[in-house]
Amino acid sequence: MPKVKLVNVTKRYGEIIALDDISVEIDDGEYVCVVGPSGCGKSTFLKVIAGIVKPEKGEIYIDDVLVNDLPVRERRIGFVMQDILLFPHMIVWENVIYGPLVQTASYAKAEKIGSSVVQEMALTLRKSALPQELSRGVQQKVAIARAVISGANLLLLDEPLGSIDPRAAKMLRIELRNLVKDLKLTAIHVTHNQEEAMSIADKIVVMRKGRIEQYGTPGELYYKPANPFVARFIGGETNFLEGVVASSGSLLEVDVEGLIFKLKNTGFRKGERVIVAIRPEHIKLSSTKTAGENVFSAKVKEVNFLGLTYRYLIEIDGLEFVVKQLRHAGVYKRNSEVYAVVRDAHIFKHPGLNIKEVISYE
Amino acid sequence: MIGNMEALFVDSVSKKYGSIRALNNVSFRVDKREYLCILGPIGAGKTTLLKIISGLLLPDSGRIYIDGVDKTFEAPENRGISYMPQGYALFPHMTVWENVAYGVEMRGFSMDRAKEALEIVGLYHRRNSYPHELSGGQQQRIALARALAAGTEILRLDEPLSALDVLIGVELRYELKRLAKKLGLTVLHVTHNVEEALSIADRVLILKKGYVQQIGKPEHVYLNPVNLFVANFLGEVNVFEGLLKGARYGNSIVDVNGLGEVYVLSRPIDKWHVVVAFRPEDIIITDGESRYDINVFKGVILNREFIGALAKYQIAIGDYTVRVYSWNDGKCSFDAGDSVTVYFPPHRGILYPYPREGLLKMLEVEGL
Repeated sequence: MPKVKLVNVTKRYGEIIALDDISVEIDDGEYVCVVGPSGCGKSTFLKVIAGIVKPEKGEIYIDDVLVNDLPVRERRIGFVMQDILLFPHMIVWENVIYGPLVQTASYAKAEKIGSSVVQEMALTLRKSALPQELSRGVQQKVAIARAVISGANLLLLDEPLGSIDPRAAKMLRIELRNLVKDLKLTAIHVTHNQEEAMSIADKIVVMRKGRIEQYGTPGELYYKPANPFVARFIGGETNFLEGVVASSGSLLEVDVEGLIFKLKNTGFRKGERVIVAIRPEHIKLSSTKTAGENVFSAKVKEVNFLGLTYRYLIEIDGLEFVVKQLRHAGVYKRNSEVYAVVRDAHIFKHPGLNIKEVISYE
Repeated sequence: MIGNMEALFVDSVSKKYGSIRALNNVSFRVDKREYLCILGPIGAGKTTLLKIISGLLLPDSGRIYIDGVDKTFEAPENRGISYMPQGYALFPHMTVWENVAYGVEMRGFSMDRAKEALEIVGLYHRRNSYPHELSGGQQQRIALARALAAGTEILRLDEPLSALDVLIGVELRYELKRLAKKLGLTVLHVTHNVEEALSIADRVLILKKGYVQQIGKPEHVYLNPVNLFVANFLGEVNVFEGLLKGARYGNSIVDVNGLGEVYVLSRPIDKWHVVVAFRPEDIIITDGESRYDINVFKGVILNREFIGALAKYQIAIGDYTVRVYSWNDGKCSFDAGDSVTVYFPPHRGILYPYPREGLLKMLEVEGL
């Protein structure tokens, strides 16, 4: 039984179309992340589910119930935002039991509901602290506890880790996912951080200009991006090349300005224009020539140390490629002559537009 | 003696705000055309340091030499330092030309400078466009041109990329470095983003609580961090507290409670109470038996994060949760619940004396 379903939902703000006829189903108990560049409509996506924003067109179902006209407070949702909204004059405990207290008007009942959830969240410490005495990460946990204790079984999270130090956020995101799973909630989590989404989501919605570009598991988005935009957005610094299919046999030969790539044939015809996307980590450098397909001699133009990895800018026959390798895979110096092996690539039908437009964030 | 290769010399600078010591005897030199990144958590003194170098603040003691000349008490506009603000702060209602010419006119310079600066960044042909008609990269180049037109060789960048979409910021930082090199600028780039600093800096300076912790080439500071703070700040580390038992085969042997003997290739240290650190990418996971007979431990995968090329594991080994990163090359991949063998290569470990302020305090991440 799908927990959340959007059918042909459209929302405009004046000229700007924030949601353009989108349909999506989110299953009960799923942790779904929504990603996309600024202004893609991801926050509006969350707001129409919450009921804060009304769509012009389309239906929104929560547990198979049409909720278009259901007020926010009757949707059993918890909304957590980047700006942590706790009552500053109330201690942690008062903050978390506020919901049930208002609903039941009974301290005993509110405390009982509160205790059970707080115990499960391992939030027993420092219940009598004021919000400002806690780190932002813990404040956000309190905000989530408050939402859960208020009876929400659907958590809507809008950049919940956005204002938290990146290091702390990396640990918190795992806690957040585990919490949602332990409490058997459904979560929809909007983030601009694709690594965050890849790390914790069961499924990811990739949005652009109010449309859904792809909806799938992190693995599907990474290994089978639906289009060049997704290939760029999930992964980053992907190499894009325009080419023509030179021959289509058991392998596909793609001619990119005279450079021939032999790739897995996913059904393209000879003469067809294509876009080839090569992830930086799918090019391997070596100082000796290896056997096999797609081995090119290259020159290292730039070397950047990223800690975990090295990033190289290399040149093959006048074409530049970004390459990423783990630090332990060896280091190649600037200006050195190397061999580059292209181990994997994604091929897309050329949409006819300028490639910059196809992958643009705007 | 100060050679003419030196753009900046910060000599023993200290600054207090009331009882808070913002900078403590900070000294370092920056070569001409060098790209220096200044890294540190919030409250480390990065902004105070930049203000003192630019002349917006006077130090309590110490000197600032620019191009070999003492400029400690010189007005900001006479120091030869220009500034590109966060998010570029271009005037949206002005054309590219007006944006760049504005500062030139304010300073009473010839308009040729504006033209020249735009030509350098390759956008003179877009002079009649408005900022919103340009891409993020072009806007960055305009902001840079505006800073350049002010006619200085030292460029101060304060979190220049942090207001941008993450991925765009990544793509633009390499362009920023390339331009700085092409134009022969000396750059002081303040950032809290470790990867950004490591990836484009010639050298990185790490500040903590007003003290310079370390200054050096990115690889050097990452691989040879002087203390646990630097090790942990520049990248994640797994740390194990233990007692130094002795040495064998050039390795120090540390007895780690609940884990047993851990070998680390290191120079001997004269403290018994020690900490061993291993970076997550330096640890090796296998599913079978290890071919090594030291530093091999049995564990269970607790959590796996799939981040494209990278797999990030949390592994339970005894009472410890160890983080291990490996490349997703399709060859070996583990799921939560899998039993694994974990090997800590001794030559990749780092040994430190146990920190006086305690381990937790040293590794605190909040407030970074």
